[in-house]
Formats: sequence, structure tokens, C-alpha cells
Amino acid sequence: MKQKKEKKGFSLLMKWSGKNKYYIYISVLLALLSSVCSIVPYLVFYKLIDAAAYGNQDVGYVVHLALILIVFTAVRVTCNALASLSSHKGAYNTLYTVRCMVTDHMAKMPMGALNERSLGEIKCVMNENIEKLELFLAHNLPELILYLSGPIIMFVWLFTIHHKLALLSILPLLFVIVVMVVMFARFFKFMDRINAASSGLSGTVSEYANGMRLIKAYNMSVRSFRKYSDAIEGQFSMWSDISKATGPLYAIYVVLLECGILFLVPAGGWLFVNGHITAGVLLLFAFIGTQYLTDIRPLQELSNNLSFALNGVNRVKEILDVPVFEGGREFPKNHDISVKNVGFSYDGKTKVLENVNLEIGEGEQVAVVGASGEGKTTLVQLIARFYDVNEGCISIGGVDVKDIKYEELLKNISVIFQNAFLTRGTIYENIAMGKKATLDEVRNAAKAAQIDDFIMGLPEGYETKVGNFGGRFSGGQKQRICIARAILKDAPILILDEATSAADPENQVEIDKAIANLCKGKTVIIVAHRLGITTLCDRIAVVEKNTVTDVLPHKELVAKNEYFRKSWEDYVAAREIRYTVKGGECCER
Amino acid sequence: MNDKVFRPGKRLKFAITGVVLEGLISGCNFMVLFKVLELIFGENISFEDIKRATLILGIIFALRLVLYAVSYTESQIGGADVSKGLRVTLGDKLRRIPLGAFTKQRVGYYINAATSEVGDFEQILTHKLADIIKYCTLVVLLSGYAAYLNIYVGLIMFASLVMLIPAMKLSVRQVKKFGTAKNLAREENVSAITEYLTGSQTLRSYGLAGEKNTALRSSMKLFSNISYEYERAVLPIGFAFMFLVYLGAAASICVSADAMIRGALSAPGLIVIVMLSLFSCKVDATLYISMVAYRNLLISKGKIAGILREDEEKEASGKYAPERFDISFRDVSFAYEKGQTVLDHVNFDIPENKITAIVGESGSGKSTIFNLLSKYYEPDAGNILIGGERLSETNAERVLKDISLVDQDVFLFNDTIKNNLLFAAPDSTDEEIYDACRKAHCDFVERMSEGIDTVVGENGNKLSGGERQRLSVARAILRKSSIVLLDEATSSLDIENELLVKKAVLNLLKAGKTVVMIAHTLPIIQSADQILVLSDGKIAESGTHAELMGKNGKYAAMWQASLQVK
Repeated sequence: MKQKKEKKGFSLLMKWSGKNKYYIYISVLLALLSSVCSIVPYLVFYKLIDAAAYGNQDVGYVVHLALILIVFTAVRVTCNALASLSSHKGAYNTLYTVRCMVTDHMAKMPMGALNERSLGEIKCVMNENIEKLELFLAHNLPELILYLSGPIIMFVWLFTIHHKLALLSILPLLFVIVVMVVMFARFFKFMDRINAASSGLSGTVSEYANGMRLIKAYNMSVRSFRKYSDAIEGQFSMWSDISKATGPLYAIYVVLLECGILFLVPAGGWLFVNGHITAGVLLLFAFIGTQYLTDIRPLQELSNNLSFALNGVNRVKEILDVPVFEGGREFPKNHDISVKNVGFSYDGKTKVLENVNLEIGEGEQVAVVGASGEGKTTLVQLIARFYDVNEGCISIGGVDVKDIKYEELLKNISVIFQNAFLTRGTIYENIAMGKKATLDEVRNAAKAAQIDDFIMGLPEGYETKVGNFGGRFSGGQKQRICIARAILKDAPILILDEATSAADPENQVEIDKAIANLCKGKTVIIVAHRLGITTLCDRIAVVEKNTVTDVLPHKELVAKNEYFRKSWEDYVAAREIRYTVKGGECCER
Repeated sequence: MNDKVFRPGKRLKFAITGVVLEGLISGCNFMVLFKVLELIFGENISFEDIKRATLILGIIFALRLVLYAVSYTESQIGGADVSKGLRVTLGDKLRRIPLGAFTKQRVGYYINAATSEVGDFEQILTHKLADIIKYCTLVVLLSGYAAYLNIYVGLIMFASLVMLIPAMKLSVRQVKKFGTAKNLAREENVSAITEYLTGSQTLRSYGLAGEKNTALRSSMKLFSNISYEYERAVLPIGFAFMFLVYLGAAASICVSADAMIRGALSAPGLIVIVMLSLFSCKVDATLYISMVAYRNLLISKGKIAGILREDEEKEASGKYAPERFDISFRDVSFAYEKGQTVLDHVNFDIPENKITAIVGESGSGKSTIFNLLSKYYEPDAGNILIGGERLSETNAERVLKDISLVDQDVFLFNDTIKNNLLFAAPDSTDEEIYDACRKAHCDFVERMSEGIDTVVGENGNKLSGGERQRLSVARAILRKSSIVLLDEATSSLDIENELLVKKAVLNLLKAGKTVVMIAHTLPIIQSADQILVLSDGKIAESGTHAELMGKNGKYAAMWQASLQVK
């Protein structure tokens, strides 16, 4: 891939579209053909004038011309229709191909590249930017050809009839370009104001609607409404200023395109009176020579869409340019985890982790604790190679994680994070997750995850469709289905974000049991938020000051580590608070 | 609903008239050229005539230039004016829609309507409407003129215009038929993509990513195919219409040639007729395109009108001025969706200035009680009373005046910390604000370089979850309202925030108001004055911790289970 010269913009899009580009090319070709046909009505008109002017009274000739008109119109309309169908076919296929490319590439990206922010961007690209390419490929591209080639072909034809008059007929373009330049210059002066006002408007509208409950609670509806209407008034006054500055220019642009009549009539008339041209030529230029330029009018709007399309292509390219992990060895048999002198930074400037050392034996359960933002999540993510470390080395069973096949690595590590993800398929599918498992196997996993009873209680049991995002289940139920899935997957290494269990405090007991069953016999790393769970772990690693300071069993850690001791005391204190109407009992230290 | 807001104002009407007039004046060019034509065929044309014609064309041109410049600009301003009116009307409407409607998804819909849908509707008015009127008038006038020269040609031209009606009808039918399938496929595609992205990490680790995810693949392929089928069903109509229109032009040519030979039409007449026919073909094609666009933009109008038609909160006329702040639910039933009862004839009393805790399984309707108390929704049956006064006698704003809500969903305005707190109690001094911050353990405020004058960003995005939560407690402390609704959810909190938030709440409770709290864990409410146990839409048990433990029922079982939690 790298040897080839890197393609950009339109040619890159064509490369992506694969053989669908031929649909696009055919559509462009047909559009050109239709353009050629579009001069036929004028040709017929020209011939008719000549016939009339020279007293040709042959009905047959006129019918002949009418037939030509019909045939060529038929050809033109058919070409247009086929061009449109072909371009749509090509466009929709291309959209599909590009979407597949993005999702395929996502399947190879480092897991860390699939974080919430970048997924938000990819979503926008998948649904909006790629969809906009349709407008460009199916409509704008053939239209561009039509609008440009139509007048050009017309000009060429007129040029063959009379050079000088033809040249005169494009004189309006000169004026129009000047007007356009002035118009855009004026418009760009408003750019800052437009950006400020439109983000101001959407910000205010969004705050107004989102905050409505609070607005009513605080009796602010009159005041908030005034703020809202002020923002709208601001938007209005900006647009009326812009309209005043550029509106007349746009109107002049539109009318000026037709100003050719003012030179063509006197010039043609003079030539005719002096016998240089026939009546047919004069009338041709007077009627048609003054009109054909107006076809380029929509081009001004097309330029906008073109930049949208290019932007879309660039954004897709950004995703496809994210490097992927390839190659490597099988997953090692031994599952000791070793983190040696590891340093990491997301942006290459701010160190998140520095000189981290941590050894986890096979079958050991280690909790990771630390204040938010200290990098405890980053640390466990590095073990599953969400990102590559900048310094040091992380190895499993003595093998650097960078040398293990990425797919294998992911298959052998179960990662359970806060947001329980369910597909829209059945519960069975959600637990089996592509694995060929019998219903009994699935049920056993569900039993271990304390969710079998609940599932069996549903009218359709394991065949119940989860529906969009499992809106029907409570956080804890979803969580336990995810745990059942992980139990069935049976990966030897388990990385668990314990905040998961807080999703549904009413069902804490069941979730705790499910997690305990999941962890049996595995090498486990738990990011602990609820410190109670740390008492169940073999050892606890404290992440503070961008490194791991202590790795000790609970009792020893409380004695040795200042941060942990304080956190533990706070945790116990928080649990001892009892609310009463006088403020509460006990534990205020 | 009042349809008036959608109508163009005076300014826009004036502008549209101007645009139409300009179009008609441009038609005068043909008359001048026709005169020239007659002179040519009369074979006594001189350059003087040409000069005169040019002068008239020049005058027409100047007139058009001025008229179009003025009316185009006015139409832009007039369109923006309609947008303004619509947005203000929408904003005013939003204040009157019951608060229950303001769910996350619905709010997004409202925002979109007030911003982009209004913008799309403006497009109809500023671009499409004037064009459609102008072109229709032009074709009618031209066919009238053509009819004067030859009746058949005039009829053909007029018929071509009228053909727009069946063409549009057919196109609407096809759009309806195939558009529904396309929209379904699009929604499915968006859901499938969203699902794939949301779960991408999970799907990856189960080897279900990329081409292995057949569900996503087939949904994308289906959307692609159905989109094409839609175009294939809709596109030919326009082209067929165009072809028929040109067929009419060809017929006109033959008819008028025949008339000329019979001597019923002069040669210049023939040329003008051919000219007009070809010109009106072009205009008809443009009209079709404009009308399709017009119809598409009407969808925006439908969405806006839909919001303006939504039910409003009932205007309450009754007296509501509670002097005590005990709360009663009398036989209250409620369902968000018909048939799925959440509360089923619920009765309970919450004493004034005491703490009442509500416990129960997730989904048992705990937060519904809050939603009804805040008048986000109206109960389907029964009465809710505060201090013996019925909530149904008044509106949400009045009820909420006495209530502070502290939950996970903290909304902050993009303003300073001070103003965010002042909204709750406008008369507070800086000293009182700092005091409330201290009580709510908002120590971070004093660490900020600008203190309480720090701006919090859009919905407070410059603060952490715990900080936002403590600010909302500070708000409630400052507000001193008679009722406090507290949803004690610590799930989103990290270790360092949990204790701080709880301590903040302790200070809020010290004011000794009527407190209703939803408890997700039991120990914290062990000393509450009353505990309501909610189950299957009913109050299963109520009493103090000791009383409930004595009953050895549902609560006791929950308590036993909670002891196992580490």
C-alpha cells in the first residue's frame, strides 16, 4: 500500500468504490451524451427559423424536424434517467463498500482506538459523512457534468455558427465572476459571526430544552425564555445583516447572467442589417445565445456539497489510517503477567504512567486501586494491549504482548467494563456470542451468573429478543448476562472494572456471587471502586503519582500505604453513615 | 394549533410578489424580440429599430435588476423573520408541555426541530415558494399568449402544466410506498451501526467484528439495496413527465406548421410559438424539480406542527397554597404506557419534617413516585396531596417551588458557579453562597482561580461527576425548600467522592425539612423515620427499621441479603 502514490479526494473515493466506479463513470458518460442531445431543441428551432425565413413551406420538413426533436428528447431523457439510476446504483454500492471498509478496519484496530470519543466520531462518519457521499456521487457529480458540459457544448455549437457573436455571448461570465468575488469576500467577513451565532443558537436552544425541568423548578421560565428569544433575535439580526450585504449581489449575479441580450441584439442586428448574417443567426443568438449561460447557476450551490463530500472522504481516510496490529505468536500456555518498567502517555507529552512494575502470578487475584485520573484503568488496559506501552514491556507467560497475535490475545482475556453491552439478538445469542454452544452450556453459564431464574421467568425464555440496547432489563440483569457470556468464554485471564457491580445496588448480592463464580481459577485483575472487594483479593496494587507504589495483601497495605489507609477509613466511614432528620448519626470525624 | 406562524409575513409576501413580477417582466423580453422578428419578416428593418429595441431591452433589464435585488434581499430577511417567529413560538410551546415529555430522546427531537427543521422550512419560503408561483404564472400567461396565436398550441402548453398534478400525485404515492421501507431500513441500519460501535470492544473480544459480523453486513447491504430500489421507483416519474412535455412541444411544432401552411399563422408567429413551447418545456421541468423539493421540505413543517400540537399542561385554576408539608398518596395509579402499570392504587403518608425512605427492587416504581410528586406526570387515578392540598389544582411550576430535587442527573447552566447557585435562591449574598459551598463540601470551588465566578462550561462539563453532585446539594442547601427529594445513587461515584457527597447530604438534612429519599442500599436508612417498601406497584410494607425487621417480611429479607455484601 505504501509504495503507491497516496491518493486523495475524488480519486481515493473511486479507488474505494472498487468496480462500482464503473457505474459512476457510465453515469458521467451518459450525462455527457444527454448534454449533447440537449442542444437539439435549439437546433430544431434554428432550422425552423431558416425554413420560415426562406419561405420553405414543406410540411414534411417540419414534421421531420419535430420527429428529430422527439427522438433526441427521448434519447436525452433516457440517458438522464439511466445516468441517474447508474449513479445511484454506484453510489449506494460505494456507500456500502466504504461502510464495510470502516467496520473491517475497526476489527483490526487496537482496542484503545475504540474509546468513547473516537467511537462517537466514527458513528458520525458512518451515519452522516458517508451518507452525504450519496448526494455527491448520485446527484452532484452527474449534475456537475450536465451544468458544465451543457453550456460548453452550446458555446462550441454557437461558435461554429458565428465566432464573434459566440464570443460576445460569454461576455456576461466576466461580469458575473467579478460579482461573485465581491460577494464571497463580503460573506467571509461574516464567517466569525456566523460560527459564533450558530453555536450560540444551538447552545442556547439545547440548554433551554435540556434544562426545562430545572427552569420550571426555579421559576425561571420567563427569564430563560428571554435568554432563548435573545439568542434567536441575535441569529435573526445576523442573517438580516448578511442578507443586506450579500443579497443584492446574489440577485445581480442571477440577472447579470442574462445580460448578453444587451450586446447580442444590437451587434447581431447591425450584422444582419448590413447583410453579414441571416435572420436565423440573428434570432438564434437573440433568443438562445442570451439564455444558455443560466444553466451554470446551480454550480454555485454545488461547490458547497463538493466540500462536504471531500470532508467526508477525509474523515473516512482518517479512520482507515489508524494503524493496526498484525502478526504474532500463539497465546502462551502459562498466564503469569509481568509489567516491567512501563511508561505510557496518550499524547506523547503528559506521562500517565511511569516506571510501573507489577508481577501477577497465574491464578492470582489482584485489585488495582487509586484516585480517579491516576491511571489505574490505563494500566489494566495496557495489559490487554489496548495501547502499546511507550517504555518497558508487558508480558504474559514470558511473551511480550506485542508478539502475540492480537486476535488470540483478545480471545484469551475477558474484559468486563462498566457499560454492559447487549446486542439486539436473543438472550441465547447474547450469551453464546458466536460460540457454538448448546442450550445447556448456555444455561449453566447463566446459572453461575445468577441470571438463569430471571431468564426462565421470561415468556420466551432464552429466545427473548433483547431489543434495542436491552432497555427492558435493569443494569444488574444486563451485567449478569454479560458475566454469563464471559463465563462461557472461559478465558484464562480476566480484567474487571468493579464499578460494574454498582450499576444495580439492589441486586448487589447476586452480582457479587456471579463475579465470584466468574473469577474461580482465573488470573484476575480487578479495578476496585468499592473498596470492600479488596479484602477478597490476594493482593492490592496502589496506583498513585503515575506509578504503582505498593502491591500488598489488604492488612499489610492498610498499615503501610498512606493513600490506601485513608481511603479505607473513608470507605468504612461512608458505610457507617445513617441519615436522620437532624443530619445523621455517628462517624463524623 | 395556530397555522399562522407558518405563513409568510408582510415583508415576505411583498418580496414574493416582487420575485414573481420580475419573472413576468423577464417575459417582456420575448415581446420585444417578437417585434424585432416581425420587422425582420416585414423586411423593412433598420438599425434605428434595432437601437430602439436594445433601449427597451436595457430598460427591462434595469428594472429586473432593481426589482430582483430588492425582492431577493427582502425574501431572505422575510424568511429569517418567519424562522424567528417559529423558533420563538416553539420555545414558548416548550414551556407549556408537561415536564414528563422532556426525556433525553425527546429533548433531542425538540432541539433539532427548533434549529435545523426550522431552517429547512425557511428554505421552502425563501427559495421554493416564489419560484413555484413565478413559474406557474409564467406558463399560464405564455399559454394564454400562445392560445391567442393558435388555440391548440395554447391548450397543449397548458395541459403540460396541468400534467404536473398527476405526476406529483404518482410521485407522492411511490415515495409513500417505497419511502416507508427505506426509512425502516435506514433506522435499522443506524441501530445496527450504533450497536456495532457501542459494543465494538466486546464484539472484538468475541471474534464478531468486521466481516464476521454478518448481522451488520446484511443490514448495511439491505439498506443499500432498498435505497436503490426507492430511487428506481421514484426517478422514472420525473423523466417520463419531461418526455411527455417535450412530446407536447413536438406536437405544437407540427400543429403550428400546419396552421402556417393553411395561412392561419404568420412565419414570425410560428417561430414565436416554437420558442414559447421550448421555453415552457424547460420551465415545466424546473417546476417539477422545485415541487419535489418543496414536498420534501414540507416534512419539516409537519414535524414542527406536530410539536405545536402536543398536549399542554392543564391550566390550573384552583387554589394551591400548602402551609404544611406532609405528603399523601391517595389511591394513586400510574402507567407510562397503557397496560404496563407501575403504581397500582398506592396509598401512603409522608409526615412533615421527617425522613421517609423508599426501597424496592430496581424498576419497582421508586422514581415514578418522585416523577409524580414533581408533577412531571399526572397520575392516571387517585390524588396526591401536599399539606392537604391537591397537586391537580395547580401547575408544575407552583408545586416545584416547594421542592428541591437532588439526584444523579445534575443539570448545570453554562454560567458561573455563583449564578448556578443563585438561580436556586436569587437573594443570596456571596457570603451565603460560600457558606452553602462549604456545607456541601464543595472545597474545589475555593481552589479555583476565580472562585464562585468560575464558568462551569456547557452543562458543567468542566467539573467531575462528584463535583457536580455536590454543587447540586449546595443548591438545595441554599434553596431551603420545604420538601427535599433525594435519590441516593452513588453508583457513578469514585472512592474519594462517596464520603464527601454523603457528608454534604448530612448538612442538607440538618435543616430538618420533609425528606423523601430513594435508597438503593439499606444501611444508610436504618435510622429513617419511615421506610416504605415498594413491590409490584404496591406498598408491601411500611414502618421503621425495627418494626419492619420485626415483621420478618420482604424488608427483613432484603436486609439479610445486604449483610452479605462486602
